[in-house]
Amino acid sequence: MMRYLRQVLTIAGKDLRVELRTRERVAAMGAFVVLTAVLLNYAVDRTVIHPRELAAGMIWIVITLAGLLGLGRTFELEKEDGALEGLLVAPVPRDALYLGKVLANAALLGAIAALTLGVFALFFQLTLPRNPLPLIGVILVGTVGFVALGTLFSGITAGSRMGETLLPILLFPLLVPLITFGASATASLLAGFPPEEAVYSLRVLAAFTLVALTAGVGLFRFIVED
Amino acid sequence: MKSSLPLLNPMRFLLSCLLAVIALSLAPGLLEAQAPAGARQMRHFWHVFAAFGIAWILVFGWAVSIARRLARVEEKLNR
Amino acid sequence: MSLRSVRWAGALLGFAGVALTVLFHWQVFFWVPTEASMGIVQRIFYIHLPAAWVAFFAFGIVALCSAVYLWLGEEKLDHAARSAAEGGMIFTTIVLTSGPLWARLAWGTWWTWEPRLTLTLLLWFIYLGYFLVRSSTENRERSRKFAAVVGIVGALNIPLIHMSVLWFRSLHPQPVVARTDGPQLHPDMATTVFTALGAWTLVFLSLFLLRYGVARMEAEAERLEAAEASARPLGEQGVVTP
Repeated sequence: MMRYLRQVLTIAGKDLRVELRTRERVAAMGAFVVLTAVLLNYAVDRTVIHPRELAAGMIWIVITLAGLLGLGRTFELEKEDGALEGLLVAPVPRDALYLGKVLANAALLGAIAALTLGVFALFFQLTLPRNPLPLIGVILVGTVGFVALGTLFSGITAGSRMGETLLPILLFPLLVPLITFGASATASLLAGFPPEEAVYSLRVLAAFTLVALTAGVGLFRFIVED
Repeated sequence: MKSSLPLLNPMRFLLSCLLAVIALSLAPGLLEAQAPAGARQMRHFWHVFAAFGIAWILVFGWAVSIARRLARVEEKLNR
Repeated sequence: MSLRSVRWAGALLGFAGVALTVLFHWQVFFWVPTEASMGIVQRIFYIHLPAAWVAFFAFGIVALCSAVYLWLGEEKLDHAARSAAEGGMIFTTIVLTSGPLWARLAWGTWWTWEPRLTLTLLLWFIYLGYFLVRSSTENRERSRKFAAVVGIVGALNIPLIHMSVLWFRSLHPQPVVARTDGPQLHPDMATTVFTALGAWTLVFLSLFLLRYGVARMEAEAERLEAAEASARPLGEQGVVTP
């Protein structure tokens, strides 16, 4: 068990180290988030509706799109210089490889999600709840669920001719629960309702994440096997 | 592959049956549609026919595509 | 099942399906009473509901065959999954075209976020992804596995998606509609629906089996071709598609 955990952490550490050295994905996703928020400001007619009222849903849309931007490249680096073969030769079970990738992606997207929340709060004068823990929990659970599905599917798209363009088609139909319940929980927390109101949504989000992780752990080995 | 013959005939028969069904389903409805006056009624009929027509075109199209693929692969196997 | 029996089963089911289809068209157009509040357009219901049932049934077959395919690695199961997915795509399209045609007259709008209609739309896109993954992956073995994974993950998520669309609707009330598929359904209407269900299911199963037979023959032809190519002396070997 400890060994397995260490393997997962090693893989995640490797990916994060690569990311820290190049900072390519973080930079692209971060800029994407800020710029999308800027564009949103000009897309909304403030005499009709204040962007604040759209914020909860938009935050999730932006996280999803930014995540798509980063996830598409999960296996890009490994594909380019044949490093995937090296990883597959390593004495690491495939599911540990998957979980490591998910962990690294979740850390990355988690940071981006926090940035998104901050940018939206700043730009659109959101009042963040006094106790931020429930909100952080909702965003974290949702992010992990998204990344769990996205990492699995980016393994598929990396092996196909269409590449990243295929990712949204595979991913978006399955994200309906994430967006529905993520946005509803976020909206209720941002509106200052007590956290108990968001419990149901959080539970469904957790179920979604659990299903996604289970599917990924079980199915990932069929994707990378040759 | 001589065994392909028993299929192709039922297949053709199936297709002609489907065609007959389409004709049957459309013809009486069209006649009936003349009877009630009022554009609203007429509109209802059009929607029903469109829905049934699209459904049959799709199913029929699938059947035709299967038949064509079958013909192609049989030709390949007979070679 | 041998290829021969698959075809015979397909043909027999096809005959039964066509017979039932004739019966159900007679019922729809001559026999069943017109629904009082919605009028004639309600007759679309008799293809709409059965098509939806077949679409989800087909997706069940896709998921099941995909899962067992990944487990056993039996190529036939992948042929079955692909054949069912083709049928599923056809029947989801029927649901998605007949739904708006009905909704326009019954509820005054082409599109509503009616949960089952929405779910079908998403199912259509899941099927689309399934086929795109297949066609855009060059390595056959991998494309099969990829598609199987997509099919399984889609099926696992459907309950959650269903929950979401239902829940979303409860938040946003829709125009109140006298649903016809409640327990107060007129007995003749119920009979017609059941005939239609049987007819569509048989037609689907028949075409599914025939398509499956063709897929197996195609695989066989490919194998023969490859064997022939490798049997030829090296100098004559042409380009063989993998």
